[in-house]
Amino acid sequence: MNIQLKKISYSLTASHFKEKLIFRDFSLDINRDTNFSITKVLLPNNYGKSSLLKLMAGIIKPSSGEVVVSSDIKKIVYIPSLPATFNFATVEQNIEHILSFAELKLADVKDEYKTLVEISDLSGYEDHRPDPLSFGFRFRIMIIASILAGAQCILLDDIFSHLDSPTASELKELIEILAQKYSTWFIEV
Amino acid sequence: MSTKKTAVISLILLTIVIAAEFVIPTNPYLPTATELSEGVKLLHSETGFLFKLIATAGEVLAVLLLATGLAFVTVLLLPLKLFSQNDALRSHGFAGYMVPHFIIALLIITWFGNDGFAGFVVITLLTASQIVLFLIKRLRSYPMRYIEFFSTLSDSSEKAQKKLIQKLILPSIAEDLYAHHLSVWSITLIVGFLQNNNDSYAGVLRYAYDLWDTPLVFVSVMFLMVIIYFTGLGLKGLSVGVITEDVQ
Repeated sequence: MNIQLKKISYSLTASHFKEKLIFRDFSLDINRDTNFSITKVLLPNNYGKSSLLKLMAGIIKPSSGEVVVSSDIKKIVYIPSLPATFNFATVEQNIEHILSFAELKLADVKDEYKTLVEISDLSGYEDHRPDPLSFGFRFRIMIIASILAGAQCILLDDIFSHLDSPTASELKELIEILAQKYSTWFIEV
Repeated sequence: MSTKKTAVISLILLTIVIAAEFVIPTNPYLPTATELSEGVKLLHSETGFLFKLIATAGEVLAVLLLATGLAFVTVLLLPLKLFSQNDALRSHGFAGYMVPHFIIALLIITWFGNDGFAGFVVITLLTASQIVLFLIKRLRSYPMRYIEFFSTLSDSSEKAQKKLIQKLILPSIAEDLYAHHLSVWSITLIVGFLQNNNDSYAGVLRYAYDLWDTPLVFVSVMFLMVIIYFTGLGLKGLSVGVITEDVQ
C-alpha cells in the first residue's frame, strides 16, 4: 500500500480576499510498513497536517500536482480530530447510518459487525446512545464502522490529542488489533 | 412563549381566580370561580367552544405538519452551497423572524378577505418558509467534520452531503414543530379573530371580546393556554435532540 503526493500546491481560503499558502510543490511518498500498525506523519503544528490528510482522502483538491493512491487501496476514510457520530442514534444505528453512506446495510456485514463490536469492547452497548463528550467511545464507533464500510486505509487526524491518556492507550491497542486482523492501514498526523 | 412561561402564567391566573373567590372582595375585574363555571356553561351553550378548540388545534397541527414536510422537501432541493458557512443568507434568515405576526395576519386578511382556505394555505407557506430558513441556519451550524468524514465513505461527495442533510434534519422534526407551534397558533388565531371566523376558536375569543364579559374572556384564554401548553409539551416530548458543536 502506497500513497504519493506529487508536487502538490494548495492554498486555504483564509477570508474573502486572502489565501494562505499551505503547500508549494510538496512531494511525499508514504509506504505501509506491516511491522507497524500506525504510520505516523510528523509535522509541526500549523504546517498543514489536517490539509495533508484531507488531500490524501480527496476531501480537498490541490491547485496543482496530484495524489496517487496504489490500486490495492479502494477506500480511504478520514477520521476528523473530533468525533462525527449522531447523538440521537444508538451505537448500532450509528453504524447503520455510517454504512448507508457506503451503500451497505448492516445485514450485509452482520457477522463482521458482531466480531468488531466484540473486539472493540462495544458489546452490550449496541442499544446505548453515545455520550456526546465520550470521544473515545465515539471514535471506536467511527473506526469499526469504517472498516465495515470497506476502508483499507484510515486517516486519523490528531484524534488522540482529545483523549485522556488511558482512553488514548485503549484506542491505540484497538487500532493495533484491527490493523493486524483486517490489514487496515492507519495513518496518523 | 415557552411552555414553562405558559405554565407560570396559567398558575398565576389560577391563583388570582382562587383569591377572587375567597380572599378578594367582589369586583368587576377579577372573576370568581363560580362566575368562571357559569362562564364555561355559557360559552359551551353559545359557541360549543371545546369542539372549536380541538378543531383549531387540529388546524395548527395540520399547518405544522404540512409546512414541515414542505420545508424538508425544499431543503433537499436547494443547492448545497447554501449550507456552506458564509454570511450570504444570515440576514435573510433574521428578517424572516422579525416580521410581527399581527402584520402577517393583516396582510393575509387584506389579500384574501375571509377566505379560510386561502388563509390556511398562506399560513402553511409562511410557516414552511420560516422552517426552511431555520433549517438552513441549523445545517450551516453543523461542524464541517461531519461532511468531511461522511463524504470519504461515499463515492460521491455531493450524494453524501445530500444524505447527511436528510439524516441531520429528520430527527429534528419535533424540534422544528415545537419551535414554530406558537407562531402558528398566534397567526391562526389573529387571522381567525380579524376574519370573525365562527368555525375557529378565534370566533370564541371574538364572542367573549364582543360581550366584554370578564369571566368569559378568562375562561376562553385559560382553555387556550392549557391546550397550547399541552401541544407544546407533546411536541417537545417527541424531540430526540439535535447535533451541536462538542464542548471540549
